[in-house]
Amino acid sequence: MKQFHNNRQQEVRIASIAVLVCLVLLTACSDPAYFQFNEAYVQAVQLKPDVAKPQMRKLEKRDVELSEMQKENISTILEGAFGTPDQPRIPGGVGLGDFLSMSKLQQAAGPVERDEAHIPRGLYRQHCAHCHGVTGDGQGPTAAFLNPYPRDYRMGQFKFKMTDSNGTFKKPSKEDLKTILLEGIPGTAMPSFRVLAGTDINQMIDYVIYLAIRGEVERSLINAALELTSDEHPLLVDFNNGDKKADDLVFVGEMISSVVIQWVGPNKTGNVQRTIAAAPDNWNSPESVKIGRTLFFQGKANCFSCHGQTAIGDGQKNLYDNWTLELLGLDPSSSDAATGGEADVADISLESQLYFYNEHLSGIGALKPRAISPRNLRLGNFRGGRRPIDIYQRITSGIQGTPMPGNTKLTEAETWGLVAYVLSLPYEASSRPQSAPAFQRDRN
Amino acid sequence: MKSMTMIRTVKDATILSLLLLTLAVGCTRSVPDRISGGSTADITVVADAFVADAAGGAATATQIPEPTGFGTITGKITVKGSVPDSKFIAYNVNKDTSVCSAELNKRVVVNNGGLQWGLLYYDGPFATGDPKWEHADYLAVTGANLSGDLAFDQKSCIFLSRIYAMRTNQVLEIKNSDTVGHNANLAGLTSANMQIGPNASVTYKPVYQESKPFTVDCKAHPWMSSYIIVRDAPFFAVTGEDGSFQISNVPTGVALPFKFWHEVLPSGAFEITINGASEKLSRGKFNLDPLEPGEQRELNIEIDASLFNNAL
Repeated sequence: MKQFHNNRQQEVRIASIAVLVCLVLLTACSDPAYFQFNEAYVQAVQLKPDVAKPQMRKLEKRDVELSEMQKENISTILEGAFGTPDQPRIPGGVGLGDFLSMSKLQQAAGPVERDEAHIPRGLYRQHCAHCHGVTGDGQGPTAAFLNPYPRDYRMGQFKFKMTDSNGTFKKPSKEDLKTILLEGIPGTAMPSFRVLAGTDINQMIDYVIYLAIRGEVERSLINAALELTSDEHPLLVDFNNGDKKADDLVFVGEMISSVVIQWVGPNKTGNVQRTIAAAPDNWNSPESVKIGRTLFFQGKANCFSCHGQTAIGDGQKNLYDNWTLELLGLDPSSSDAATGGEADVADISLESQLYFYNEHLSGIGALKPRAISPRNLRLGNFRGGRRPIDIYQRITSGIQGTPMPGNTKLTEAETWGLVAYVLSLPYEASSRPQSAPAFQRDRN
Repeated sequence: MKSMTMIRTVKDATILSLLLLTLAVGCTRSVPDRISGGSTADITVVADAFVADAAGGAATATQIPEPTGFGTITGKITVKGSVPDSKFIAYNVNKDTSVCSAELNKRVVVNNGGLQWGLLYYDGPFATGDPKWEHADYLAVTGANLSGDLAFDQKSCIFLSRIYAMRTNQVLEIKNSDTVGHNANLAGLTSANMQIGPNASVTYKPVYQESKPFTVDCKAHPWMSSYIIVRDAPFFAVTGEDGSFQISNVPTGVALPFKFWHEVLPSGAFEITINGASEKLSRGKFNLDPLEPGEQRELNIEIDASLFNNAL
C-alpha cells in the first residue's frame, strides 16, 4: 500500500513537472511569427555621434525622436500593406501586380508544412529563416556564428548580380537571385539549393524580394516619420481624421511606389541583366594578362589601393560595408552622418567605433560590427562566381553596399586583361616582386 | 525512508532547475520589444487602400498651385562671430602622401563674415517641364551636362566642392584632377560607386529627387568627404566665397517653403536671423512669403558662430 502510494506520488510529481515545463515552453515560444521592427535603423538615424568629440563617439539625441506611437503607426501601415509572416499581402496600386505572385508568396510564407497534395509550404522558414531571420533582417538564430553574416535584405541592396550597379535600375533581377540560390556563395555559409525543385526556388525568390521591399518601405516610413515636425501631425497616417487619412494613404502609396519602381524597372516585370559582349578570343593570352597586371597597379584601375600590392587584400582594410556602417551609428544613405561619414570612422580607434554599437545596439540583438576585408585574390575563391563574365561584371559594375567601385572607363581589352590577370593570380607565385608605382614609393 | 524522499526531492528539483536553466539560456538572446500594429480596423483601412491592382490604384496626384510669373531671390548668408581654426582637424592622410594634402579640414568656411558652402533649396511641389513653374531659361537647358568648370572635381585628395547642388534632369561630370586613382562613392537614392583613373572623369545621371544632401566619399582615401543634393526644381543655391547667392526665375504667387543646410548643422534645429527677424528652424525649414511677378526679393540670413563652434 505504502509502495503504491509512493509510486502514485511520484507519478503526480513527474506529471506536474511535465505540465510545468510544457507551460513554460508554450508561453515562451508559441506566439505566431511576427516581423521585427527595424529598431537598429531607428537608433542609427535618430541618434548621432557627438560631433564635438568624434574620437569619443559619444552620442547626443537629435531634436526629434521616434515615439512609441509613431512606431506603432508604422507597424500598422506595414501590416496593412504587407501583412504578416503567416499571411503576406502584396500592396495593390503600387506597380507590384506583374512582378510578385501571391500564390508563390503564400507557399513560401507561413510555418513549415505540407498541404493535402503534399506540396511543401513555409519554404522560407524551412530553408532561409534560420540564418536570414523571419523578418529578412539577417539575424536568424545561427547568424551570430557565421562570418560573413547573412544578408539583411531590408536595405534593398544586393552584392552579386548582373544588373548594372552604376545604372538606373541596379536592383537584382529574379534571374540574379536564382543564380545565388542555385550556386550558393563560395567562401560563405550560403549553400546551393540546387537539390530543391525549380518551383520552390522561384517561390523563395519572390518571398525574398517581398521581404526586401517591405524592409525598404519600413526605412522610408521611419525616415518620413522623423521628418515630421511637431507642428504637423506626428502620425504618418492619421486614422482618426477622415480627410487627412485619405491624403496620408496617398503619400504612403507614393512611398511604396518609389521603392517598387527600382525593383520592377521600366517594363514593370523586373530589371534585366546586362548584356556583356563575348570575350575576345585572346582574352587570356599572356599579353592580355600583362595588360591586366600593369593596370592592377595603376591609378586607372586602382585595384592595388585596396587589394594591396600583394593582391592578398591587405590594402585599405579599415572600411565597413553599408550594413555595418549603420551599426556604427552612421546612416550610409543620408547626410546626417554628422561627422562626415566614414571619413571619421577610419580615423578613430576600434574601441571608439564600437561605442555606438555597445551603447545602443548590443542590447537589442544586433550583430557585432566587423570591418570588411578586400578580397584575397590569390585564393581562387570568388564569391560572386568565378566565370570570366562574373569577374568582368565585378570590375565594371562594382559590388553594391561595399567599398568596391565599378570601373566604366576601361576599354574592353583592358577589362578582359584585368579579368585574365585576376583569374591568373591564384597561380602566380606570390614571391614575384611587384614594382610599386612612383607615387606609392614614398608611402612608408 | 525519509532520506529517500529527500534524495528524490533534490533529484526533482535538480531536473527542474536544469530544465529551467536550459530554457533561460536558450531564450536570452536579447531582441527589441515587439512593436505591434494598432487596431485591426486601422490595419484593414490600410489593406483596403492598397487592395487590388485596379486601374490607377489608390494614388491620385495632389493638386499643385499655379504660379503667376517669375521673380528673383538674392541675398547673403553671414556669420556673426568667428570660427577659430583650432576647431578643425587635419585630413588624416595615410597613403599617397606625395599627392594628397594633409591640410586642415575646414568644415566651416567664412570669408569677411560671409559663409561659403551654405545651401538653400526650395522644398515645395514642382511641375517639371510646366512653363508656369519652369522658366524658359531653365527649359532651354533641360538635360544639360554639368561639365568643365561646373564639374564636380577633386584635387590633392580633397573634393573641391563641399556641397554641390544639381537637378534630377542633369548629368554631372565627376572629375579626378589628381595623379592617383579615386573612386566616387555616392550614397543617396541613385547610388553609385565609380572608379575614376588619374586625370579622368566619369558621369553621374541621377534618377530620383533627394530630400536632403547625401555623402560622396572615396573608399581609396577614406578621409575624403563631400555632399551632393539632387532636386527636381532648379530653385536652389550654394553660397559663394563671400556668402552671397542668387536664385533666378522663382515662381511667384505661390508659397515658398525653403530649407537651409550646412554640413556642420545637418539636423537643422537651431535659431537663425532671417531678414532681421529671429526664427527657430526645424530641419532647416522656413517659409518665404509669395513673390510678386518681377519682384527682386532680398533674403539675408545671419547665423551665430556659436552654433558652429558648439557643433564642431
